[in-house]
Amino acid sequence: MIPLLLKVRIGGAGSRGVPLWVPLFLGWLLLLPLALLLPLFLVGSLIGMLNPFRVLWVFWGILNGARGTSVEAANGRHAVLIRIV
Amino acid sequence: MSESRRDILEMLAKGQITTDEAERLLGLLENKAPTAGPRDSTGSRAKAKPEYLRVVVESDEGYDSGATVNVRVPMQLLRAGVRLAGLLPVQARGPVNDALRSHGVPIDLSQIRPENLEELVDQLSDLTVDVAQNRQKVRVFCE
Repeated sequence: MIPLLLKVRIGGAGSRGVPLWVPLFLGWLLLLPLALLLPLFLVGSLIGMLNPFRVLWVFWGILNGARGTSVEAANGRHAVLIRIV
Repeated sequence: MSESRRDILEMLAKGQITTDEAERLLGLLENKAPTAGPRDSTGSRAKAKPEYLRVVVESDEGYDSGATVNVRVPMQLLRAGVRLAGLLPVQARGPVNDALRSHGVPIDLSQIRPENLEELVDQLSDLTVDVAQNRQKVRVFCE
């Protein structure tokens, strides 16, 4: 399943910060019109001697696999959390 | 007391190994000690497939004053990333291999095929890298 939400939390010293939920599914809906460019992508892939279906399959796999990725970084004063849900 | 543990202690008593070596071997034994879990049809313990690759960087000062980085990457994303390498055009693989080799990563991308992809990812489950330098520690492991 593709990622639907992005959780971002930026905290300061002594506080965990307020989580910000970014609705990725709205982004996917906004990008949906780009599907009209698929014929161009198909032509480009064939010119580049790549199997377009394989390319789509790989990028779909990356999109699906990104779910669950989490990055946390903190120092004494700041802490950042990014999580793909 | 297990037989292996007894053997280590006997070797220590006979002076065949030092206390440090004995401690290290006992530590290894403890890490390998079986825990409750499902067994497969052959009777051996079923190895759970790791779901994430974790990279943890921490300093001795701790969270309050030292920097901490904690990255969790799904294995599914790694699989997709390895498949991405397979999309490289054949004529581009040579220069990419050369560039990787010059940066100390002697990997032949043409050897990464779907049939050995699963084996490659499975091997990562046994991967544990611990690096400690001054007051910082880096750990790479699968969970």
